Amino acid sequence: MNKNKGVFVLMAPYFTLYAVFILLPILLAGALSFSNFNGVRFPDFTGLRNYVVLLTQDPVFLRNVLPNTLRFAVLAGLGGYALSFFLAWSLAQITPRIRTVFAVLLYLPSMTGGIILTAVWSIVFAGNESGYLNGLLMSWGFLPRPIQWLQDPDYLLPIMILVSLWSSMGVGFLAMLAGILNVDKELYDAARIDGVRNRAQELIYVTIPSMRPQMLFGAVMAIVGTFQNGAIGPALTGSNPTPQYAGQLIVNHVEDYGFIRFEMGYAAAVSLALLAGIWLISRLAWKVFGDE
Amino acid sequence: MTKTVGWALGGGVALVAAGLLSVAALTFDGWSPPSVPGPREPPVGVPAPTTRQTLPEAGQLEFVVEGGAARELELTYRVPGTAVAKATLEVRVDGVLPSADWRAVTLDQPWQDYGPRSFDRYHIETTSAQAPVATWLRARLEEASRLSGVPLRLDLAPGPHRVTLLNRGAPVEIGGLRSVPVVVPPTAPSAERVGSNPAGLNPLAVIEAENYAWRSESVVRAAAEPGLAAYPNAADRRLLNTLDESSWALPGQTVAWDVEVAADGWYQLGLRSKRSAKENAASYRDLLIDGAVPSADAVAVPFEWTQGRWTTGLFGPAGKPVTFWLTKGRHELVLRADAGPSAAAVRSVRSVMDALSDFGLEARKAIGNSSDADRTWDVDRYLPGAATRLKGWAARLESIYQSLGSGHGNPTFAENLRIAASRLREAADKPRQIPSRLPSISEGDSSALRLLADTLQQLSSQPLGLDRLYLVTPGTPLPDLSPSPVATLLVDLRSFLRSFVPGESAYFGRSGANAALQVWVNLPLQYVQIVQQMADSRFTPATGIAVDLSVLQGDQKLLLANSTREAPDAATGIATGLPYAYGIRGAVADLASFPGFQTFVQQNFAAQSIVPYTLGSKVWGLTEAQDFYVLFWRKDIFANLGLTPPQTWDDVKDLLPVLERRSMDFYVPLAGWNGYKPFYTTLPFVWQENGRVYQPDGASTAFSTEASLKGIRLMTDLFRLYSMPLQVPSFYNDFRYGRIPVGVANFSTYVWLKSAAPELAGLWDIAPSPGVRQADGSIVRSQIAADRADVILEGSKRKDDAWKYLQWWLSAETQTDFAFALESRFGPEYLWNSSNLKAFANLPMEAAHKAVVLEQWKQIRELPPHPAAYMVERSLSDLWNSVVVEGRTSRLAADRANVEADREIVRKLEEFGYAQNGELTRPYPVPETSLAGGAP
Repeated sequence: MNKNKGVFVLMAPYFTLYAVFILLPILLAGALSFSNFNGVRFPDFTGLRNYVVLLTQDPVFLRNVLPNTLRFAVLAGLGGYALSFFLAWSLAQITPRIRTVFAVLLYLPSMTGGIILTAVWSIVFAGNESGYLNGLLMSWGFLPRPIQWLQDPDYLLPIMILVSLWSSMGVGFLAMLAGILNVDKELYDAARIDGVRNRAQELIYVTIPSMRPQMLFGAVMAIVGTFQNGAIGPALTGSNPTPQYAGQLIVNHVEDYGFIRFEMGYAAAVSLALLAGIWLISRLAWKVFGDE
Repeated sequence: MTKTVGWALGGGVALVAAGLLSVAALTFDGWSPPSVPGPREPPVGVPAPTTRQTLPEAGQLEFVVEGGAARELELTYRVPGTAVAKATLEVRVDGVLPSADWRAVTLDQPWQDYGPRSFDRYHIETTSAQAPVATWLRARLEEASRLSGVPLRLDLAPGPHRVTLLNRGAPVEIGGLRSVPVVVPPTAPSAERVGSNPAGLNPLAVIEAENYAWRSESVVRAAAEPGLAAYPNAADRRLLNTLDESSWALPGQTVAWDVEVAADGWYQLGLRSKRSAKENAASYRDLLIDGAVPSADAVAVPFEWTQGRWTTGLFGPAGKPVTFWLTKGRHELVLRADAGPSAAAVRSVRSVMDALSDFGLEARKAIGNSSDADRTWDVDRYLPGAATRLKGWAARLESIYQSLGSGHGNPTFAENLRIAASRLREAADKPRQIPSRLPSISEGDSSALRLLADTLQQLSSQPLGLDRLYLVTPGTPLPDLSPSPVATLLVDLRSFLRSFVPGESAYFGRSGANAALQVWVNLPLQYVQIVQQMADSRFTPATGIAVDLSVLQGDQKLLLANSTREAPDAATGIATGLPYAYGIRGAVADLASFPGFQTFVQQNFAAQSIVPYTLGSKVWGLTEAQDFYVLFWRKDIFANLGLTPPQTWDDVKDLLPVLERRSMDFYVPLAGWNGYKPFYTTLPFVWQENGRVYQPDGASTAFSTEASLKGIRLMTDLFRLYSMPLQVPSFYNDFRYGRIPVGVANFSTYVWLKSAAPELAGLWDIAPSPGVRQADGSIVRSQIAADRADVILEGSKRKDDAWKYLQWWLSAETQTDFAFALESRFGPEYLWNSSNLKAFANLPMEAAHKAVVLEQWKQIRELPPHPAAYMVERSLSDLWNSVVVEGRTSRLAADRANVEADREIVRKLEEFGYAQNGELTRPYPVPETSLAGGAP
């Protein structure tokens, strides 16, 4: 025990910060989720009511938010993950100097984030003829009059997914690029001898298994990123909620209840549901790529 | 290696120690109060004339003047009011305008500081009260933009001529008008003459620029520059020490200083000045001594760009200082901003713009409203010489751009000229497609025309910051005041360390644990400073209640502050939805319970103004600022098309096809919102059809009632059947360029058009919003008006004091004075839309426009509050979306919206005890009032 004292001393700063800024808020949110709290009066205990309402009486959650979030997570999350891997692998094939340039270019959108979202994409998809997409389509003669890209419920979610894919080359992408470049070259030669015949087989039998830690890291980052990416809908349409809840994700739903309807207890319950979702899917990623 | 680190560490420690020492030494800093400029002796102006006539608003007067070649008109006048906007006349000679310049002649008025300058509670020196000197003045008539720098000239046949003055602004008193010959300034004195200077003159007299005698506009202001760069300066307080560079930029703005001369002799003027804006281009100034230019070389003297650094030099063109003779006694030195050579550039750009817009019209006439980009045109037949014309304009723009650059580099502020030129060249390269390239020539957001218009104001601006003036005898060296880098570093370090001292960050959070009333203000700092001054000088002495104002950045913080028991006693300027939302949850106090509430509201505000904060007998807020939604229309375009502004939506429906044939449009605020349409964009349609939002028992929406449905149909039909544009990112811009010459917009659009669209002056007007004609022939034009609200926090221990403060702050007197202080200090774009009807009636705003707004405010109908209002707002927004964008029928969509909103309404009523298990237990009192009902 005496010998291990140093370990505790070294861990203390991290653990304190973790407890104060992560553990405590989660516990508080957990406690609040069993209450009715309007931000002003003291919360009153309501038991499991918030969770019951969430699953049985919240039509927006069941009809719009949950399907939107799942669709968004699968297409933007999985899609972004696959795209990150594909682009990382493609970049690994070219010469280092050009690779660096491209890596920076691809990484850039995920860094610039929110501002670019509103500045660039809301102009691209603006609903009048001065929007780039409408302007192009109209000048090529495909459209007689502008489409309300961000107003029409049919287009909003796909556009959100597209924009999210554009900015999905984040830290996970860099990790995967590093992982691919790190694979021992001799393994490929050995695999050749063992009968690997093409690049696809190389990829499946050598590259991916050798970079499982990076694949896992990328997967977790992609999951957390997509579930938390709530800013995108309001940023594109200029308001929360999005028109007809067409682009409403769980994070927007939390903000809606917390700051517009002043139902902090319910908002806490929704955010815990989000946490549970993220945790479940991360477990899945561990199962696939984890080292036991 | 270690040695270097050691040195660096040692140095750092030494610096910090020095900084701390200097903080400790703060109180010992030598500082003496600056000299105070008061009302001037002898006074500005000329003696009162014997004959005087009043020229009322929109009135006219006639004079007979003597003819002759190269004459100017000299007017003796007095402006009695204290309006910030200048008096404006239109001048006709023998019944006609001699040129377009005579359409707007503005009359200057000297503005002085009254009373001593004082320090606010945070040791920031602030300017004293501003007022124009209502004295008799004599001036030669000049056009409004003051581009040419000289009075307007006339060449008249000999003999008497009839001159008519038409007043286009506030009332003016006229003492006389005569024609006078043009004054030619004398040539510069020869070197021999200057060389024979009498002995014994005071070689160097210092005048601080901020201690001016008067200036021609109140917005030219003294500023406090921190640090050591400007003089005087002090470590423990911020002194007004410069004339603000950005505030003194418009051609024609003059500033005067008084100087006492000890003996007759030749003198020169030295200046410590700074240029940071408008890089690589010069600003120009004229020197006038006792009202006259001393010599020809004192006109349009350039001040080169200094990269924002203070530089000292003698006044005069290219190293040849202007020398002038001064007699013993007091003299008035005047510096006037002059557009100099950029006046020619502005005129050239304007003429290219006129040509482009004519070209656009010509092309539109030829091709009609076609938008087929692939079609090619026989350009030579429809638009003869189009390509050569475009190339000619491009070449002109490029040469203007070249002419603007100085030796130091490209005039980057005018980059738009080059971009516009390249747009024109691109279009000219494919002549057969020119008609389809109109968006890059004359129409739309990125056209050459638009780029030029955006540059125009920058082109004529002549910024110059001044720290000091020196009156020197020729040959005297000017003092070098630039501080050493070490001293600058120490002072910066000190102010950085000071920022950690509690109570030192002015206007942010409590200024120490004192017993003052805490008020959080959701307005920018410059507003809060003025309110604090007013409260300190009037409210506190009268009531004994000290007030601490803090800037509230984002009104959501109020809720968080409330939950940590850190909330202020009162908050002002917050969003209008918050008082009710906080009130029903018990966070803000019921104002109706305070003494004198009823009378205070009745005497000062529109009856509807308290509706958004009302539940039963409780009222949780008061409207501080009130918006107005009125019809903006372009007089020139309407006159051209022979149209009149629409009175009702039926008129609008008739108007739309006429506009659309010319590819123009109508704007309503709905189109300004991208996704979610807030209540104030959707509800007016329902109001105007006399619809309601909620059923009287508050338990469901009223969208499906006949009247509301009519309003909803009106709102959706305008877009669906009459194809109003669904999205207009900037009505202001479209209005300026005539693409949308008419629309319903609000206060901020009004301010923008007034202050940032000088080219439109006099070409647009406002009228009450279009409405719906009722059976009795009257027109209901109701709009929502609440803009910002004030509250008192429930947790406050000093609610009665807070109520006294609110009564003082919202009173007609305070609001009027605040509006005037704001506008005279920062210019007409700081118009204050007070909700106090008496204060608004006193605003320095065009009388005709004020009448329109007050007329519109008679028809205010505010949104009745409801705990589920957000859901109803959403449903209405989604309803519009599903009808207009998705094409559903309005009845079906309304029913669906009803269902969605009703579910939330019941849920929320349950939360607040009006319902149980989905059943209403007691009615929720909706304070819904129809206009006929009057007061709530």
